[in-house]
Amino acid sequence: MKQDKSFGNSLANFIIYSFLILFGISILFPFYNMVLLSFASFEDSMRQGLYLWPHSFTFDNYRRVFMDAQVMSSIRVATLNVLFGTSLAMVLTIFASYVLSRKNLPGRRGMFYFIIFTMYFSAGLIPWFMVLRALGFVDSFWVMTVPNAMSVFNMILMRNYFLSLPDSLEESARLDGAGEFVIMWRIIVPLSAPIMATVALFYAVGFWNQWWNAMLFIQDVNLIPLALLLRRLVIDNSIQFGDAMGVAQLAQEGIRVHSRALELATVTVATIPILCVYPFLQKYFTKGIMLGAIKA
Amino acid sequence: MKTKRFALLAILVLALIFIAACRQNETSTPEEAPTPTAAPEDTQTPEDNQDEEIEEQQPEDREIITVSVMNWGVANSFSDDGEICELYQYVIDHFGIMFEPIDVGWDNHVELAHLWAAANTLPDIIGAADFVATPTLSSWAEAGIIRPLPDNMERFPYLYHMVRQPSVTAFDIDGQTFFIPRGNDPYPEYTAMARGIINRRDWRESLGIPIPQTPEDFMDMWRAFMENDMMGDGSIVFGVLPDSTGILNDQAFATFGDTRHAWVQMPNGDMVIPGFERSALPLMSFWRDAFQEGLVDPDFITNPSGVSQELFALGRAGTLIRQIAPLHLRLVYDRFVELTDIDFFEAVEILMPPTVPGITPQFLRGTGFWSETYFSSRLDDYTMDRVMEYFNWAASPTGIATLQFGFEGRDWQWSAEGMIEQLTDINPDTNMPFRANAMYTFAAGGMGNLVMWGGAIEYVDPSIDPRLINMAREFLDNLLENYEFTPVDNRLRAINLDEVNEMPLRVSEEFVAFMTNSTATSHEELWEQFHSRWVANGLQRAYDAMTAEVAARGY
Repeated sequence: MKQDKSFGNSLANFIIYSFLILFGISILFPFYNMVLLSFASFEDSMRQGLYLWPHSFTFDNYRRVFMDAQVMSSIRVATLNVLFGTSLAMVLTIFASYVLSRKNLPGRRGMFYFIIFTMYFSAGLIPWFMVLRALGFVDSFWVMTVPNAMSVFNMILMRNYFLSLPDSLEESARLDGAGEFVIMWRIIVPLSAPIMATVALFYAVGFWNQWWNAMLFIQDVNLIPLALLLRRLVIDNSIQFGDAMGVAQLAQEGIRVHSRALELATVTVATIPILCVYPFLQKYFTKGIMLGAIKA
Repeated sequence: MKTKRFALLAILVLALIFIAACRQNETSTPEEAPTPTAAPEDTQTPEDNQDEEIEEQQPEDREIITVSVMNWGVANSFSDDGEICELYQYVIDHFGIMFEPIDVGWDNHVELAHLWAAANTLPDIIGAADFVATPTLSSWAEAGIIRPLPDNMERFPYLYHMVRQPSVTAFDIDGQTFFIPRGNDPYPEYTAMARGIINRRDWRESLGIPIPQTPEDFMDMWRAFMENDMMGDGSIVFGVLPDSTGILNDQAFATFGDTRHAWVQMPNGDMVIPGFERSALPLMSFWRDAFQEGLVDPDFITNPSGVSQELFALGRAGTLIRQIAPLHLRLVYDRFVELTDIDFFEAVEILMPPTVPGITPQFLRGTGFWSETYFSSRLDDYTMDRVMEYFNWAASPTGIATLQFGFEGRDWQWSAEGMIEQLTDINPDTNMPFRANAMYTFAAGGMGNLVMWGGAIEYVDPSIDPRLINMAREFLDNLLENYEFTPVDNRLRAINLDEVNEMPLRVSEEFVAFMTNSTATSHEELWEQFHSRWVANGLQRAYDAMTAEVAARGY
């Protein structure tokens, strides 16, 4: 392809790239500053400024965070949420998507619209709360995963992906004597790695960041997930680092930590796991979204 | 090239939006500062009551009842492993009550309370902030979600005294009171909205500046603070740091009269909000001048709650404007001790507001409360009476002191002068005697302040340096002697009108929008623009509705 090297084109490139770079910085800088301040000393934390370069570097804030029993408990709850919730959600989504992608299923369209209906209309918060309460979800670990176990949006993505697979694959398997479950598990799912990775990432992020259900239903401090703990730490100020042992131990060592730095260290701790997972799934992520959308 | 043209067009549109958003104009709404988790300004001197003792209940022959309690941080009052601390055991033994904590946060308790109310799962005892200022109180009362206080509240003298205050009875519905006020102060001589001007005396004196008397003097002093490298290291020092956006108009800088967001009846019967009246223009202009000259720390608009005292101690500004009741002064003092080597009492002073010829500074005086406790209608009369017994004790001087300091005779005692003397060991972290919350779990969380806030005894609180108490007391005595107090008609607070509730305007936000407006528009012209917008946003409609309602009620 011939490249346009005119002045107008160069100027356009300059403006576009400048804009994109500035846009990128505006997104990255707050995160960068958060990480920087999470490693800052007590004195730097107190100044509450925006830093381009680290003025000090210490692991004390992170030591303090990881000494806190509540933080560790919340990380454990969030991790279990992700593991259990994502597993359950994937199983349900795969089954639902597969069934609704079968062209010979009687009433398929009706079932699909019925499920779609729930995406747009709900009975509202209060009936939902009352139903879950009646089902015994108050102060239950499962309230953070089971009620949100399947996302209709993700199901549609996956169903569309399944629909995009050639029918001949299924016909061949059927000729070899495969039943529906074998076809799904041995043929369709292995061929759907991109959409599996994409949807799994959606679910994992969602369950990691789960706080709404926990806020409504959880009173037991041992069941507070990390996202809710962060909310209370940063927005609500209703929770403070409660482990006096950690403070005493650091104080004995002559170490002072600032509450703002502790908040930012906790936020960083909460963000890093998902950031670490994302690069490994990114290639599937983009591809999966596109493929899921084509048939829609 | 088509794609590039489209991209350029998109960037142009975004750039225009960005420029428009950045441009300061009168229609911009400033970012709301975090809601301060304010302790009450009201205070209490229990000397008059200290001889009164609550008649101890003898509930041995009564069964122990369990009631659920919703309050901020209430879970922290109970051990995770179910262990009962000595103070909780005392409450169980003497009042026959056990509590089931329902923990909520400051920012979500309203949402949760409404959800639980709608689902008929509201806890038995509900701590809530300022529901009286919303339609919630009347709608809950009408729907039977909450119950009124028992008849014959005289049986509970401390509660009776609190709920008979005009600021509480104003919210009675059909002659019945539906809540216990928290932070209510039966001693109005110290309830002068203790907000004021905390100043670096050492800086002022080192520059040879006399105590400022006029607004211009204050501006000159702030200017001098900024120009003279007060920290000695070239760091930026501002003249003044307001604690929050709400403090600008709310009587801390009371020079220009009543500028609150509150309903006031004019002599002709019209109802107005002083902060939206032209009479507020001098104060708005003062702040705008100071802000545009760079004398005000601009970060105050977005500073997290509670950070101002820390910044002040670190020399961010020469003047701090915030609450100055003893507990609040202690917050500032503690930051100086923690972060600096400066002697607080040598370095800091409280200044009286400047004066302007022809305008009398006004301070708000009157009993008040900052949150309320409601009771579910599921509580029957017998259970309610039992709960009231506990509440009455918790509202008594002895109850308050017990929840704050521990057991009388062992952890503290009354001195001959009516002060509380702590008998506990010294806490090495604070260099002050241990308080109840360090010794008894029950006093550590939301149960410690369910009935009365610690501020109720701050003028006799031994954990506050007496010099801080004296600073606050002298300031308030000075106000009482030399300043006028804003008349308060508590009945007006209780009026709930759609036209008022729907008006999306807050005086504090408008003050910030006004002061940060950097256009060349004159104060007068800018105020006219603001006023037009206020009217367009329902101010006049609210005025008219309120005036008609007040006339109809015959106030």
